Amino acid sequence: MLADAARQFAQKCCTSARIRACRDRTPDHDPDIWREMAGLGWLSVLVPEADGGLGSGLSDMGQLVYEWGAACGPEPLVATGVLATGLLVAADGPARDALLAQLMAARALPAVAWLEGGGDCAPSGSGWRLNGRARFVTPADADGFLVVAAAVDGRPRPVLHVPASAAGVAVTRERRADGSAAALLALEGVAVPQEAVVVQAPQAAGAAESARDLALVMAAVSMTGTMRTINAMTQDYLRTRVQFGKPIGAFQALQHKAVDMHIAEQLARDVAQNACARIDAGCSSDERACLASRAKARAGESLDRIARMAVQLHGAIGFTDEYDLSLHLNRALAMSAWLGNAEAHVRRYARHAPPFEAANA
Amino acid sequence: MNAEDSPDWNALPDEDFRQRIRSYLEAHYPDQFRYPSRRLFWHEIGFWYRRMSEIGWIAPNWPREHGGMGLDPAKLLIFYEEHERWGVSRFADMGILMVGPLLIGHGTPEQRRQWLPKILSCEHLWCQGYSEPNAGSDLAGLRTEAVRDGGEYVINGQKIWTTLATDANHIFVLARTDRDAKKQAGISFFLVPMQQPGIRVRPIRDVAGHSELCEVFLENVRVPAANLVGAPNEGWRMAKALLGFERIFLGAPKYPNYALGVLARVAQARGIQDDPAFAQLFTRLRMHVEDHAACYERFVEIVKRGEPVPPDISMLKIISTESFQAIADQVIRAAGEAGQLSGMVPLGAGEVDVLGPFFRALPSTIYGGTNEIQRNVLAREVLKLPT
Repeated sequence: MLADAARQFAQKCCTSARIRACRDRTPDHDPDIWREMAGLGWLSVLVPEADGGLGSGLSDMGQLVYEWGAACGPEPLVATGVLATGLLVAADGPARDALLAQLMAARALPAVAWLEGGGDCAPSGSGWRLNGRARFVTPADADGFLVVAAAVDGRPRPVLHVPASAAGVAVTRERRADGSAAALLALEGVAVPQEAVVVQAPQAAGAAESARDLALVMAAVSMTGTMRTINAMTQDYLRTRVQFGKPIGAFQALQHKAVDMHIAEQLARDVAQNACARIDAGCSSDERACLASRAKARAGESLDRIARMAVQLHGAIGFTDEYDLSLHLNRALAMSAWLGNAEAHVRRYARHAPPFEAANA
Repeated sequence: MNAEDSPDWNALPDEDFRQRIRSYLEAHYPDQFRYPSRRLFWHEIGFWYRRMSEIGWIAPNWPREHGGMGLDPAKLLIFYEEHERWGVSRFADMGILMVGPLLIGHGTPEQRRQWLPKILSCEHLWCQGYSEPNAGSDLAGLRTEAVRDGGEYVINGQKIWTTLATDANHIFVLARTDRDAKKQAGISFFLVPMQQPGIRVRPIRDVAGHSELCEVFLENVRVPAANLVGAPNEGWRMAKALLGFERIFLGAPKYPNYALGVLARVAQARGIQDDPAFAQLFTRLRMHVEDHAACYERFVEIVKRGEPVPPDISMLKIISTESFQAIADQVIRAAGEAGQLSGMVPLGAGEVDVLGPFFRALPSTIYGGTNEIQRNVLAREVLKLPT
């Protein structure tokens, strides 16, 4: 039921025309639609009931994200609705409650920003001073950033909320393949007061990792939505495009490619759903990291394959911007790389996985 | 063992049931037969099946009133999972898997009385006479023919790729009984004792040097008309219906898992397990096997709920066998120059059958319906692509 309602809403508001209108635009999404999503409770799903949210898990959120991904929605459901939300939910600092309430009501649009190496979050007076840069921050049109900094000499740093308008903050927009933007954030001596602490230093790394894992799984789910749409478009095309006197879907060489695309989609979906269920049921942080990295790696591999194959099966029309496959292909490129591609997550999995034990040892 | 003596397995909680199966296997199944790198012959593994027969575990899939364990789908899966987990060899138990369910579903009371007890006691060992030299993927094109002659049928033809026919004393045969019907419509199902005059079995030596597969020649083989199962010309439909539940096992992650274990041992023995390129490759394969398991679990849940197995299940066989082959190939590469040696190869402190996984994996994309046929099925029945 949740899925049906989500599908109806997503399909109603994600017309090809609107998706295209959002490309190369500032903002790269529609704030009105975002407010509608908030009104439907989409931004409250992962928020505990004690904070005024719905207190649900990834399996429920996944149904929304799946449909939103399938519809190629431009609004930042995973970047803000999961990543920033997940970080705020796990937070314990003074800025948490108000930000979370504003996020759920679509009155604040925060984005998580990981400070690159060489960046610095230093104590300064009663507050903090930020220097450094963060790249690939989405949504680029965020009104504030949740800045995560690495520990310095083993001393952990808090997560800080920095308004986009704060002095010393410069945002450069970098164009992603799908026409949305990623922010390149430059922070120069940005003064942050104590009340802007989102996560206190001791909990900061744990909260950020937990939020990253939730976002990885939801990114994978969103990508399986993209796969569903691409495969459906491709199968329709195979059924209707006639060459040599018959629908090209009757040719075995093309059928087998379409089947492999279908298998790639199902496998990615099974892995992502399995991750949702197991994380919802509770697991250790290492297990969670393995599940999340497996989901993102599998989604990346499957989607890369499906998107490329879809163009091949469509022929030249699949290479045009005008045909809507282009929207999903470009979304695939953006999502595969965002938060780490398949290669990166194979390495991350290896860091978190227990030693291999052969079944027949 | 009588049905009255056997416990009501389905009434046990899943975990208790699992524990009982597990502890029995761990206590009684001999170590040297765990995870065999080829199929075992009856003279090697027959003792185990006799023991299963004695304790009433020989036919987990049959109803209790016919002498089986009567396991429901969930319990049956657990039963097989525990066997796989402990690496218990499955003899080509075609009597249990195919003939029993066929007779229980379509046989006459006389046929059941005549044949079922001897399957349960291991007196009758069955092999499957399906494929023919000119009817492989296109099985319905089979040409072995059965002609009615009074109270008997006379069968002529040839079967091939019959697993362990040299061990079996009975064969069930699909044969054409109506030459004029559409090809699927004129086929009947026969039970044939192999000591019958006119039957000749020739083992086929395979690329691995094993002789598990055979040719079976049938020349004027006479069987009583009572050996025809179900209605005449209904054999194809019945044979297809038999391939339901069992298909999930062709897609289980057990073989990829086994190959991954061999790969880990080979890498350890050659000291390359920490080589960054190898470690990355191994991690990828390990993740793939875990991903496959997640897909397998989805189908297991469907089966456990007692729902019909969806046609999408063909994907499991594709994923499983292609993963098995990919890992088996890596075992050979990881072995380096030892990859040229057949049989158990001294490597590091132990011994490994380096080519074992490769030779087990090689035919897996062919048997049980080639992967190309599986893809055809998916294209037609799931993707609904035109023909």
